[in-house]
Amino acid sequence: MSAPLIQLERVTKVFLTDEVETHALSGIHLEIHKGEYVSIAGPSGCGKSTLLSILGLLDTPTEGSYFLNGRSAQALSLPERARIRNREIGFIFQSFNLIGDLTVYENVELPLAYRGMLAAERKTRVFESLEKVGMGHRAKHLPSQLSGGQQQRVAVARALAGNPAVLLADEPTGNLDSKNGEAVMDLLGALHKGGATIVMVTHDNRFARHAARTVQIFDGRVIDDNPVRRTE
Amino acid sequence: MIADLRFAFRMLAKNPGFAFVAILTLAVGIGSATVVFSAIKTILMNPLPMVQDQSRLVHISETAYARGHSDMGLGYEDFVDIRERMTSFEGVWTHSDRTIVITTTQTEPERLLGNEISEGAFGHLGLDPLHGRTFTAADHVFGAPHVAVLSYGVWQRRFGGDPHVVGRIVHLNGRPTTLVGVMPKGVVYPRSSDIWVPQRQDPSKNNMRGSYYLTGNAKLKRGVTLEQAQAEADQVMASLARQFPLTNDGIGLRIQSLSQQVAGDAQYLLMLLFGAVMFVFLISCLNVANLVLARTASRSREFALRQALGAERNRLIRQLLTESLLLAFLGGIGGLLVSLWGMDLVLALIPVETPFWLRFDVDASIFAFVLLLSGLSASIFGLAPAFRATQPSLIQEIKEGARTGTISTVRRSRLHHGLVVAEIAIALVLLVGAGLMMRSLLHLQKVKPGFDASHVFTFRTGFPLGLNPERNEVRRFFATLVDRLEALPGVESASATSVLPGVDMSFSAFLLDGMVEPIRRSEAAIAYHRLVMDGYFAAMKIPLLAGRYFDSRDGPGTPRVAIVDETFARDYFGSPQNAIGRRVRTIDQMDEPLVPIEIIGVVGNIRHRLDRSDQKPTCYVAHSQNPINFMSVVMRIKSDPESYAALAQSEVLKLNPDMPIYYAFSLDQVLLQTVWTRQFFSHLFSLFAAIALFLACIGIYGVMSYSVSQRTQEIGVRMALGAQPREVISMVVRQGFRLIFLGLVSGLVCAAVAVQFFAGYLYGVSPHDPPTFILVPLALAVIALVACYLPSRRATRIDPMVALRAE
Repeated sequence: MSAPLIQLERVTKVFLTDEVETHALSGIHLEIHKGEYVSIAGPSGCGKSTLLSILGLLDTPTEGSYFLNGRSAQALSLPERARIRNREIGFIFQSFNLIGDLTVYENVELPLAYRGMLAAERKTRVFESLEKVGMGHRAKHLPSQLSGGQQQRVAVARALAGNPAVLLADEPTGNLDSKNGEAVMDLLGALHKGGATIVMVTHDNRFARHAARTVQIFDGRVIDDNPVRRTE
Repeated sequence: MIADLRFAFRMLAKNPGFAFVAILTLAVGIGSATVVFSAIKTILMNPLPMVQDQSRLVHISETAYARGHSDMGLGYEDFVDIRERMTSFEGVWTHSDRTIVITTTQTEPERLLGNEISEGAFGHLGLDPLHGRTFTAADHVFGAPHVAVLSYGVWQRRFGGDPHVVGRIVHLNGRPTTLVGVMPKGVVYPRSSDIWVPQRQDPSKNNMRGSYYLTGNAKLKRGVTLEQAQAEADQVMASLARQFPLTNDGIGLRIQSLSQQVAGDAQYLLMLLFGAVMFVFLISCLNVANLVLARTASRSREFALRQALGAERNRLIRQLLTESLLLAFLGGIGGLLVSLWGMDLVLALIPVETPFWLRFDVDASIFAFVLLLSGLSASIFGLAPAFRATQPSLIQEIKEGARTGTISTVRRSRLHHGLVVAEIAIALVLLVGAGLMMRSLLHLQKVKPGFDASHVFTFRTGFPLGLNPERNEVRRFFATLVDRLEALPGVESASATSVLPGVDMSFSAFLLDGMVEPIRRSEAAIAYHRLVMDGYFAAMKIPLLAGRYFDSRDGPGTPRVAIVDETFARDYFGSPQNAIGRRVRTIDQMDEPLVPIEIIGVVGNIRHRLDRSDQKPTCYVAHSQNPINFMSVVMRIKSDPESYAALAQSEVLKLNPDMPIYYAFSLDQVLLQTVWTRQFFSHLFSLFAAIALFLACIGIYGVMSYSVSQRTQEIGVRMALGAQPREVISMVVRQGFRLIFLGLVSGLVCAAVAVQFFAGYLYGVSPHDPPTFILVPLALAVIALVACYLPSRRATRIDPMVALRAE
């Protein structure tokens, strides 16, 4: 079997607030391979978003090791973390986090611009990504002119544009109604079928089932790590 | 309303940082404007304290425009004719400065700034004495007993405010004089006189027409305008020219408002300065507007809630305006304090006697002005944010933003950005103005005056009127004094001149070889006339171009000799060599026979004033052959010149215990005093421009900081997407640079127009001076970019996790 894309060993995360220690994660072991579609599920406050932040190099573990693509994330400097986030990780947020003053095109172009890619190539990549999510015709619109579902599709296109090694989705349906939520999940499913590695955080079991593997977290520990049993 | 006020207090107390910065900013703006307003109030509304009917008072002065003289003063005979013939005037009088040495048995002699004033002046001015009386017609009769009126200051200082001083006899210039009155506190007419004596005309000297040694003032009859008086004066002067063609041909009379004349250039410069401080005030208001905008934006949920609870928009606006008015009122109180301290700072910048118009009297008008500015500032910084924060569409937008989760800052920032652009533009206008004035001053300081002013100590001394020394006594006194001074250790050389460079512009008319008498004054040669002692040119290091300097050969019994400058030689004789041996005669002393004077030397040109480049001819006459009672002594010193004041005083007193020395300065200081108005206003303008720059930078810093805080989430997203710290910095700085660029472009356009107002006060610098117009915007851009860079550094420290959680 090939080396895991993501490997966590005894990862703990402790937050100190007003001299009170909060153990958000306690000794997490996790391996995710290329092409997997993993949902991280659990109740609110169980540590799943913290886990996703560590996976996305937005946060660092208090203890333990994190290897991304076989490379330890521990010794990375801030600029190196930024570079890896830009090239190897695609983020999809619950509240889309599109920049309201930029058009759809410019929002999707943003990670490519940070990569220093030439304008012509950026244009091709942006339209490819927008076409993948069915938003090519809305390139010149501002986010405020789109529905919530459309905005999330643009956010997915932004995450895809850089052709990252892994897509990290944090409650991608949290701000959507069920119909739009299903549409986004279908989109992620299609991307997975196309070969994308996806790690999705959700507290909703209906959506967790879209993934091929579900990691259950409770009180900062992995309590279950199983392939999803599909009913069909 | 009370509830609004109470809430406003509570809101300020809740945000002490905001309140402190806003009040301080307003205090600086209001305080700066109040300092200048105080001076303007004096100069425009009350240039002559205590004097009545100031709007009807005029300054009259004879002119010779064809010879470049627009304010020559007034000749006695012409004054008498004008007083008799002009019907536009209710009264005409003259005054002239006199050095008066007061001696009493108890104290050392003191030199007072005296003023000889003609009959009726106090009555026309409406000045009544505090004690005793002013002058009667009998006091002005030549040969009458000597009388004087004391100023309040001298009465207090020298006589301890003794109410029985009236009737006392003191010695003024060696003559027993009865003190007949004391003027009230505050009377400074014509400038800052210590003592007044009556003007008397020696009937034996009745042929002085053509000598302009008096200063004339008049009072217009009620209903007569300046133009009407000027028209009548033109007719009177034309008739005098017909009657006395030799002296009065080409001579006119100029009538101008006395307040304008008293203020001189200072009035215009003060108005310029007032414009500058009003800009500073505007910048401070714009800064506070930005702060208030940011603060009201952060209270948007509060306003939405108030509206949800049924508050009408007007009610919300009233609440916000109450808060702004409170802030402005507190800023006004701070402004009053700043202006008190500011005036001390301003006074410290003045190298000469404080001009009478530079005062800070806290009176009702100052309070009214501060109150006006406070109200104005509240409307500038309070109205726009109040209307904006309560805009129904904005509240809807806030709700929408919260629901959709998009991050938008641009629309809400336009007003902030507009204010910053305006601040930078205004600051640039002031900085360009200050830059031009400072460059002009630097040019002046670099002017080579034609002599070496460094290490020279100067003072004035002499025999006051009334002592009537013999000519030989005068000659002997100055010759001995110079010898004794030269013998002092550390003194390289010493000499004396009737007029120091930079002090007076007095000139004389000369007859040259070949000119046939009688000659019209308008056709005579005009030149600066100076009496100097042996060794003057060497002590001043004025080079000899041809012939020789004065020496022991030039005594009272030998033919009269003169030395002229290069301009004199070239203008009238073609070259320095041609001038040697030629003869001139001065025709100012109409009562004395015209004695030919032979030119024995030609020296280099000197600047009589640093700020005037027009070179007029100068003729130096030997003091030994024509001694005058007062001279300015120059001493070239090896070390610090100012340390010689006491030594010089001691040497003078050893020769004559009743003779004081005054105007004791280094020659550098004397020269500086000729341009002190320019220097003073340049420094003040620069000070206010620096304040404007500081406030503008605080403004851009505040806006960029606010922008970064508003964009925290966006920056977090960008960092999550892989933006490097330098890219975040570049993004913030770029945004700031756009504002700076817009501000600079608008500012340059405004400055290009505004500099026209400075044009008349620049020396050696074009109003559109390229270095100023290039370097000042560049410097402003760099400083403003630093103000943008600091918040951008903070942006890179935003934790993406925290920013994204804020969603």
